[in-house]
Amino acid sequence: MLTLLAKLFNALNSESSTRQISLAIALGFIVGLSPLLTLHNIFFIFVVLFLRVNIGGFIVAWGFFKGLSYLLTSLIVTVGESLLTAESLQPLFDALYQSSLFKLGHLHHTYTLGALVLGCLLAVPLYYLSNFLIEKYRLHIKAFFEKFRIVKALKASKFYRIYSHVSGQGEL
Amino acid sequence: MSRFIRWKGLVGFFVVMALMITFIYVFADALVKKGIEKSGEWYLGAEVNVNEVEINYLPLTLNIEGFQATDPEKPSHNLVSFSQASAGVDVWQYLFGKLYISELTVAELRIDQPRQSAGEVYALGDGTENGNDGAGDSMLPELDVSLPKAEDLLNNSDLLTVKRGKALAQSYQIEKKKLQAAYETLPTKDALADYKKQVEQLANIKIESLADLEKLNKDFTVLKTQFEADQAIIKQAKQQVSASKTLLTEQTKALKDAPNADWKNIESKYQLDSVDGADFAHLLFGEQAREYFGYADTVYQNIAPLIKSSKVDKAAPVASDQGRYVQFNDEIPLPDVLIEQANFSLILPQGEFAISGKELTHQHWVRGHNSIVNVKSDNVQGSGALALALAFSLDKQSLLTGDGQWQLADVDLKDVSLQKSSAFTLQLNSGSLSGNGTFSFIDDQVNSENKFNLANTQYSGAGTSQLSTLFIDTVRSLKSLALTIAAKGKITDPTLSISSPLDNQLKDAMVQQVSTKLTSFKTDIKAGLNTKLTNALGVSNKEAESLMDVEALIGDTDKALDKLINSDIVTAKKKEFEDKQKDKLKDKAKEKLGKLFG
Repeated sequence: MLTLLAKLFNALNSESSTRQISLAIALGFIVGLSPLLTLHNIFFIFVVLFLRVNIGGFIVAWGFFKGLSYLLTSLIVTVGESLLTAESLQPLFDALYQSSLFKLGHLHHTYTLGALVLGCLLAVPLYYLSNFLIEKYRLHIKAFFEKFRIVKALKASKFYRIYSHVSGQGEL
Repeated sequence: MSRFIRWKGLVGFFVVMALMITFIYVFADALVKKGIEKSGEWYLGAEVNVNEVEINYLPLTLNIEGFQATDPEKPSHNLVSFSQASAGVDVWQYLFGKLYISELTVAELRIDQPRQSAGEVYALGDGTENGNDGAGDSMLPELDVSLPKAEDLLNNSDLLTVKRGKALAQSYQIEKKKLQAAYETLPTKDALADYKKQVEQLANIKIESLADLEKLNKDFTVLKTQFEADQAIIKQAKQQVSASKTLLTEQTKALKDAPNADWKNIESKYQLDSVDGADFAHLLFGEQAREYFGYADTVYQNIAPLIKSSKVDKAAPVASDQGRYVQFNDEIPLPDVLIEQANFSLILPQGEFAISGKELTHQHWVRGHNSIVNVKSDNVQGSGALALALAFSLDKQSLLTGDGQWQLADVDLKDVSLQKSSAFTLQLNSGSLSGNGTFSFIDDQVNSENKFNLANTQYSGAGTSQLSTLFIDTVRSLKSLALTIAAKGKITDPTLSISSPLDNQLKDAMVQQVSTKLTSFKTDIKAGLNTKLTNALGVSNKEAESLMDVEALIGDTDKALDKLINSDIVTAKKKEFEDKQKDKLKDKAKEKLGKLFG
């Protein structure tokens, strides 16, 4: 866990593209909301590995949003339920239901569809918000925090040693 | 391009996928084994063991060897166990979220078998058991009596004939005293003679003047007042006579009715009348029938929660915490769970049963087919044959409906205990059972009619009373019997009606056997009661005669007084006086007219 956090901080402090980290957080959010072994999650993991997305950031975001998803369960189920039972969308879902891919993705399950839709919709603003926050962090917050004695004390800690070690290896 | 694409990552993805598939392939058996054990333990609340699980992938087949589920209420036994089961699962449908088993086979399924070591119990249910409600026993005390001796019965002071006889005699004594007291207030014969003499004296008085007439009137009025006072006393005595007569008449009538009432009580107390109306079939087979319907109840109690939970899902789909599958119109519709063909071999102490099922699901409306279950055996209790066919379905509102029929042939019965009570024990030593029946159910309401025929029967037993011994002897003399058992109502508590020609056979046989004894007993009792009645009435007849004497005396006194009171002396004397005065006037007038006309 400490290694993962160290990787995230390393990414934040490294020369990695802000967009790479923001995309990792946004994809981590989508994957974190959904049940682990779903077809679209495998697709998104493939995307994370195939594209130059920050893996450390993705894993941390995934873990964080997985925990958050338990608090959002009822909202996710409600979204899925309202979509799958909406009269106007019945012809669309009837047509999709004939496709094996749709059923294989369990998109006729209220939680799975709700998590995918909610994840995809909120991933876009989350991407831009992350972008904005990382830029601010790199510009102001990092320098601001490094002045504090506590940060200096932290630099003497085990966590910082791991961080330095990771940092020395560079990005995965 | 390489600015965006990470080729190493692509390799990593496939490596991870390959590792995952390898992991699943290698550990699937153990994972499924653990999954079955854990989910079974969670559902039952007791230890579940699986010896081995084997998964074949082409086609996907799951094999389970040695399954044992501990009975949480009897950890030394398994609730259910089987030696081997295999299920052919449609992978695609499973990945689509549906469990479609084309064929399920379970071999050597056993119920309530002892375990090698007691299983662990994690949670116990409420443990409420529907034990014997004692309905069978309630009929037994009726036979748990013996006929008493007639003399003892007749000496019983609780007999109505005795009680009413005593009451009548007592009433006669009381009323006699009352009448005696009334009689003593009546004017005596001497008083009446004196009254008569006084009246005669007044009648003999010569009336010479108006003053004499006035005196007579006054004396007679005094006498008359005395008569009227005596008449009031007589009236009271008459009323007493009337009240006594009414009371004694009623008590005499009650006494005359007493022997019949006593006989009815004796009949009722010693069930001499119940021989005609006894429900022997229910007495003998009610408990057995209740036991078999208990099995149906047990099955229902296990299935009902599953049906109820599917009802909850239907009623409030949004309320599900983890979401649900929403089904749309499919070109090839399939329920969430479907076992297209199932074959079980069930081994019970009664024999081996081959159970086959088709279209087993909880969503029958999806394909519009009923679930069909067939049970067959050709070694029930040795060489008996059983065939049962059942069709059932659940509609969208989770309403369970079904019907079926069964046939049973040549089932050897040995040492079946029919009754074991304080009243008597009866055991069917041997017999051959055949039968057939139909049943239907809607939700928890069952309607079933079953016919049985027991042939070549041999019974043994012992009774603790004359009647129960007679009953057992009668049953033992029967070589065959037919029985119809109908069950209607709630499956958890059906109303059983058991009828049989046995009832009439037993009635005839028992009536015949007991009739001689009963007739003699009845004659003795009735004769004794009649003697008691005659004695009681004999005593009362003497008392009645004395009562009649008093009544006659009162009547005579009343008549005598009435005659005296109605003797109009004053009027007669007045008329006599007036006539005399008229005659005097006439004589005077004649004298004066003679002088005038000279």
